[in-house]
Amino acid sequence: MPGSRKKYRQVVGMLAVAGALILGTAAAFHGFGTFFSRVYADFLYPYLELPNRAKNLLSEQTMFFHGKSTLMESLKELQAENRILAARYASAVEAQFENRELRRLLELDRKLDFSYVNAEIHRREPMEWRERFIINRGAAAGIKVGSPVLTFRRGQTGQVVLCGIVKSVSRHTAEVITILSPHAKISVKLKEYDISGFINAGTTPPSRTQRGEFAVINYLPTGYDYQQGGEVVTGGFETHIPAGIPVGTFDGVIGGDSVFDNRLYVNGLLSPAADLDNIRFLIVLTRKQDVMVPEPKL
Amino acid sequence: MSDIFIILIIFFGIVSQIILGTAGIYLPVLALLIFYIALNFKFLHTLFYAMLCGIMIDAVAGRDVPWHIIIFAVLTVVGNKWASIKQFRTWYFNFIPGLMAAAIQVVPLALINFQFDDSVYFIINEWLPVFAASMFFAALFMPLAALVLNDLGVKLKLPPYRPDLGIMTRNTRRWY
Repeated sequence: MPGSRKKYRQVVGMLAVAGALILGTAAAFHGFGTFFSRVYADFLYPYLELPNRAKNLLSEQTMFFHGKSTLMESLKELQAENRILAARYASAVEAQFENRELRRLLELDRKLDFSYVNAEIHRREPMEWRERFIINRGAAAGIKVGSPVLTFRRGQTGQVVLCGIVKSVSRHTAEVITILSPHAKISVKLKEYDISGFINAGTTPPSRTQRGEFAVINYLPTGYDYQQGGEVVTGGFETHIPAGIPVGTFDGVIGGDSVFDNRLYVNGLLSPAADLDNIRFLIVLTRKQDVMVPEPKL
Repeated sequence: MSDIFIILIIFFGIVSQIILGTAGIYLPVLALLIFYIALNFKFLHTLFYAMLCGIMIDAVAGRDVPWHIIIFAVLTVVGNKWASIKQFRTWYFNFIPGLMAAAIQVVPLALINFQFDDSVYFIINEWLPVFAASMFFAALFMPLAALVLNDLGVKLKLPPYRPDLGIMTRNTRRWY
């Protein structure tokens, strides 16, 4: 009997210690979590970036398998595209100067300038594939919390669309939440109706159906005959997100018109323009005055 | 020395899970390795490492709630219990705990990510492949991991992890 009592005490003691360990760890999770996030983001960055580097190297090496004539044709095509882009850029710069001059004459505030940072995906979690990812550029490249992140439109490489916003930044990496994440709250405008709403501002989570995943646009005014298919662009309410960047297409109003529904505003669905399943290259917009200017070498 | 061995196993598990995850492949590598550690280490010792792994994996995923702490704690308890069942010591029988460990990790995560208005199509399309792939991988990985890690442990002349379950030497391995 004393033996079984001792064993019983040991089991109870062990369970008490185990319970305390689990509770203690859970309570200290946020502190430990921040510490380990920094370890992954900065200390382990070079090692976790290795697969990306290997992928890029492999992608570059495959160029050698192409014939000389194919490479020449590709080069000519790229040079032609570059010339068109250079012409467009020159025209845009001219328009920018004109805009500045007009604003000065009309005594309007100076429009904010943005610079562009190229990035690639550094880490991704399969359980949150379309909601969140980590990019391989951080504070060192001038990225700030709230910066908009752009990628190419689904099936097209000529136009960039809004993919998400930067949630947190470390020195070498930045965490991006996409418009399908319930935490990404962005102002948008329905171009067709010239009215504004807010993505994920309510309590309704993004909708997941057989047709795909949709973000929810909240606080759209009532009294409009909303039709599917209209373009949705950024609203420009946030100072760090310029207005007019395509976000997606409007997919109709959700909710009914019963007495239980709120009749002050309506909510709608937004189909993202970005192909969130297949992202490789990204562009992060940063306000020019926010970009860290390197110290001059004396 | 044993602790260094275990830390290396955990490091391998975390890095491989991150790299596979970035490639879009979800496999419960770390859960299986924690289960292996639970079979060979004492309960509280394993629980400490399981908590550490739980924090690290939830920090990678940026989760607000530390789900993996609970999942890995359950794995530790199940692993400890499994270690006392002696008739399944043959290495190839490890596919059974492998399936168990994979289910313990994947099913709660599927339930956490589930929304009440999700369509049946979404659940079948998104979660069934993840569950099937995880189970298939676990059935293959767990016996191989037990075989390789046990052999490695013996070759490195590591002290027996669980003296209460028998002494592991070069000729008389604990598992088979």
